[in-house]
Amino acid sequence: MKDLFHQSSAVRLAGALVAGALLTAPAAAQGPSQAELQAKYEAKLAHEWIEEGGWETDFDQAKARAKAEGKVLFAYFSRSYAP
Amino acid sequence: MESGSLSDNDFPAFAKNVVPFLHVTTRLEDKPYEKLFGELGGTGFPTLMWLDADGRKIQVHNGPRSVKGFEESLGEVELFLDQIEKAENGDAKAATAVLIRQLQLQWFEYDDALARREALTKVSSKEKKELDQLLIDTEVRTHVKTAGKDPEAQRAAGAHFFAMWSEKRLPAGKSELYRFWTLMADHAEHAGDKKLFRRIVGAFDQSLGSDSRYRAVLDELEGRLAHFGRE
Repeated sequence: MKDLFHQSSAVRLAGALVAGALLTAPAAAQGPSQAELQAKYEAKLAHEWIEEGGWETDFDQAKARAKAEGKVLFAYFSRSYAP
Repeated sequence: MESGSLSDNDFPAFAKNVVPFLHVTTRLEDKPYEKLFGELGGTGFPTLMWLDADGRKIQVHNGPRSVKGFEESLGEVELFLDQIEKAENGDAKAATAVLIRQLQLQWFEYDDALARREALTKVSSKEKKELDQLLIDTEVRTHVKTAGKDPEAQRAAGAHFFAMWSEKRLPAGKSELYRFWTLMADHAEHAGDKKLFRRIVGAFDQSLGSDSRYRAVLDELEGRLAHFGRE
């Protein structure tokens, strides 16, 4: 019990959240697999506007290009794991 | 937005003046920079953000999501970059304004920030007050980051925060206050100091208790206080 009390706040809170999720989630409900996530990512990158707008998707390459061209990055943050 | 302003006919012409960078959070385990959005302080998708060539945040685009809006936003970014250039060329007043903005944007770790602050030569009393507070927030963030997930290092950070509190140096940002109090609470608990733990819970309540996002943490701290050994 003493050890439990000496865990950090963050660790305890994370534990409580995980326990809560386990209690509420249906047993069969697993998240998407890495292959499914990869497919969703690739589908996202296949959009026409990305190619037409000259969007960089590699952060290091984008920074190198910004340095070489004396420009700033106009970053668009999106996600592919959810609709 | 993707089917709107970013695929507008005018966008490719605008994009020639910047480097358009698309970051996708994927939840893929081995994708480089997967956590970049969170590291830059992003909170909701989709977000447009201006970054410098080193990848540091300059500002979030909060204006209209149209090419015209992006152009106006770029104008503001260029003003900031001009100010940086002025500071680098010896404009003391610009140097102070730039450092304040950079500290707000969390560009530097504490030691670096402190050295930059000490190098300033023209600081008004209002700017001094602002810089002092920003440095305290930076100090807290740097200690939290350095401690990482190591419980012993976190408690050491908590002990440092207690020393800061004793000197009446408290952070102002909510996320900094949250880490300030919770790591200090871990330190007090480990030291068996119930009196200090009680004071921390009270201070947490006073500074963050009215924000519902921190209610669960406050409840948890109060629960720990209730189970604490003798004072």
